[in-house]
Amino acid sequence: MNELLIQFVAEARDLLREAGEDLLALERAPDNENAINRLFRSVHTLKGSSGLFEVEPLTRLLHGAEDIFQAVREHKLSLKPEMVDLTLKTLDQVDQWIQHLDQTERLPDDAAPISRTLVAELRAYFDRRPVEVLVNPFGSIADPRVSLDRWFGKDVIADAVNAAREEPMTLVSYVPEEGCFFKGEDPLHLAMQIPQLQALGVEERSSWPALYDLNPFESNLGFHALSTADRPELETLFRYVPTQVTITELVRPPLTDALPDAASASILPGVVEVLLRDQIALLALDASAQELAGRISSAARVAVNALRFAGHLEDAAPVETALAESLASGSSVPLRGAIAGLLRPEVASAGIVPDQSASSQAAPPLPSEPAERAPSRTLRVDQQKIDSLMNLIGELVVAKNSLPFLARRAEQKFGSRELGREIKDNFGVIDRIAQELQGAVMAIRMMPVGQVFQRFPRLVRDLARKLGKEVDLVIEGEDTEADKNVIESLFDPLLHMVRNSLDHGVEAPELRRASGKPPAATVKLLARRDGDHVVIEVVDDGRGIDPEVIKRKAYERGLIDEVRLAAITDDEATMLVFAAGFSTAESISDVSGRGVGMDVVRNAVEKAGGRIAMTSLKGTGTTVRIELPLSMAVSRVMTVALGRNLFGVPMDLIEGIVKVAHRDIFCIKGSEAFVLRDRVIPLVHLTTLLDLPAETDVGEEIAVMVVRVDGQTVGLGVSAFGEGMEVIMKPLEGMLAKVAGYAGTALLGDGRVLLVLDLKEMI
Amino acid sequence: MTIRRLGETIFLEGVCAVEDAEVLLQHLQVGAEAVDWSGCTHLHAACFQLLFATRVPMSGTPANPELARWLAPILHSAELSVEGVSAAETGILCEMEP
Repeated sequence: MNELLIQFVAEARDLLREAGEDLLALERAPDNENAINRLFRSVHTLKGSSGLFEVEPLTRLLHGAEDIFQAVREHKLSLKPEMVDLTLKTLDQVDQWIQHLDQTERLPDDAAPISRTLVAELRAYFDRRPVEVLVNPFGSIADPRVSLDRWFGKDVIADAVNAAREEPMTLVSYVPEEGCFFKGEDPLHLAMQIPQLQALGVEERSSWPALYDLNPFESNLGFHALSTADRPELETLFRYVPTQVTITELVRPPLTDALPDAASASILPGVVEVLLRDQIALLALDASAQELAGRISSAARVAVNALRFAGHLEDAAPVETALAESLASGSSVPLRGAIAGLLRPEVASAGIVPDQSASSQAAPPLPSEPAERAPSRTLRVDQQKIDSLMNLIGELVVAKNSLPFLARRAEQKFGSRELGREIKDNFGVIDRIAQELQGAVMAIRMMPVGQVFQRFPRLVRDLARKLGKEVDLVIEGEDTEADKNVIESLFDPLLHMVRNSLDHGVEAPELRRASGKPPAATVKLLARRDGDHVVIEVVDDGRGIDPEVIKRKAYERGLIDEVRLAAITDDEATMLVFAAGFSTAESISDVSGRGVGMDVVRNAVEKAGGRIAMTSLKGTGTTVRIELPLSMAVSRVMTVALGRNLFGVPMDLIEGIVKVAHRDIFCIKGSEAFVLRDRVIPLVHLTTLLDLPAETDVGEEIAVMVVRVDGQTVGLGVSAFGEGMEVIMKPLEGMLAKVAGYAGTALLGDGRVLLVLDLKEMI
Repeated sequence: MTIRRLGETIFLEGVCAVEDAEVLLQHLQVGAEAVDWSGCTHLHAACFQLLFATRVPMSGTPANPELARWLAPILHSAELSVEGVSAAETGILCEMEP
């Protein structure tokens, strides 16, 4: 891909993100001058850079957005929520197109009509031109039969007026004869063939007869089109019907900027020239010192980029010098002079009046931005390469794990203790390196949670508006890092949860006021690191969950039986919302409540190796807590020997390991239990769970692994522990996928297969 | 078949040539709620003229981008006339792309 385009795409993404944030900030605080200035600047820069590529619909759309923001900035227009909706939609559209540009290097085919509709919508909020100008902006048309406003929409004419500044505009009026259909002509097809068509309008020649008198084979159409093509081109197209066509060149409207038409002498390409002029016009506007500095930098950047694009590298240097000067003096004059000087020598003196206001203010010298940015130290690497590196390290870990077996063999089979010890020493070294290597690759894959969080302000805003609720979103800990896969698996569950919070949790403003809460609810998204887990919490101060309602619903839906209904605690009841097929919403809404919400969330989180929990206090709010491992690639397991079989238990479930003497085990109604740190813990023998023959050689005490599954603490009786190890877990596939009770398999260093138990399913 | 009727909707599919105008007119004379032109790749002036004259609501976006670009703004759009309904339907947030 073209270097310049790559740069544009990257820059556009940043600018769009900033613009989105500023727009939301602006909606919250409409008089936030900084936000609107930044917003305007982002969109302006984006528009300027987009002019370098063949993306006319994109440029036009940005131009429309820029107009709105400019009016807002100049206090000619106040930003209403619907306008924010529309401008956000505009930014989304631009974002989509940038995505498309990135993938295919061009805009989608439907870009032009979409752009036109959106621009029309944007213009509807504000129209700079008075309507009477639009009726006939081209002063030259004296013919009373010509009335552009009857054929074309207002926005089309406004666009044409804009376009006519750059290229001569021609009006083509084509009235095919009545019998043309019989001659095999298709006048519509011909009209659409008009080169560089800008607008097409249709009008009947005489008023339509009643439907039953209509002759379908008699043409009653007249076409009117605006085009920027030359007369000879147009005449060639209509060479067979010359008498039915009138071609009128429209006189250009006067240019708004004072610069004379530079079509003749300049050697710069048209697009670059237009860009440069735009920058001069921007710099000529009044602005506060601080704002001016931003404007100067952005104008200079666009100008330099444009010149580079045109291959006028030598011209870029004076602009950069002028940029430094302008920034130092706090006046746009040097930069304007430099840019104008590039356009045409005589323009420089005529077009530029020294900016009295700016220089007389004697603005303090501004800290000048470093003109040269330090070359970026960031590498962009294809994710696949990192993934294959990760896989290799996984294999290294497995290979490394075979060394202790080798050491044991050296000791036992070949009787060489010394060799065994040496192998173990070497294993220690390799183990350390492998771990560091793994850590380093993990670090590459780490991404801040903010990447996911940053999408929520917009989502929450849209949702809240849709539901008619007032919500403040608070985000904390967005710097917390986790593996890219984990981060990516986070978005959907979070989206569900936030949606649920807004839909079910947060009350309508009147209700909140009635219950003595502030009308605007607070929804918090919190992230923090907790050991080798990342904890994400969604906290709202809404109506909370009523455990009684949950119990009743769960019972009605057959999720629990009467016995359970009577015995269940409030906390357990709250967790029932995660059960499949549970939804408390009275009616299905767009937002949530299809009964597939929370169990999907739970499944997604558990698939990523995480846990989810919910606590809620009726009337004061709900907290949902997701815990995810920092990385999903390598799992730590504890091996457990049962007779001759070896099993793995995921390390993150294990709370501790104890030895319990037989006399300390007591029976409650046929179930065994023991006391650990003043808690009664049920004891289950793994052999029973796995239907293996009970062990015979029972010693004085048994080994118990204390695990925490679904919020319950359970003791697992085993015969012996193996070692803890890191394994690359592979899910059971094919025929084996149906076997319940196992989370997956892992290959051991000695080639044996370790079955990793899925305790959640077994207990 | 380029002109097909299904209930109250007339479907334009593929190349709608001059000889299709008569069939189209007959359908329009009977009366139709909308004309779906999403499958339309070419629209002859004779057919276009009928749609233009009767101001029948058009639904869908024609397969040919040129038609969509130049003719959709001229013809009477079904989406605009039932704006309230379609806005509510398209506003579903669940399908939002992550």
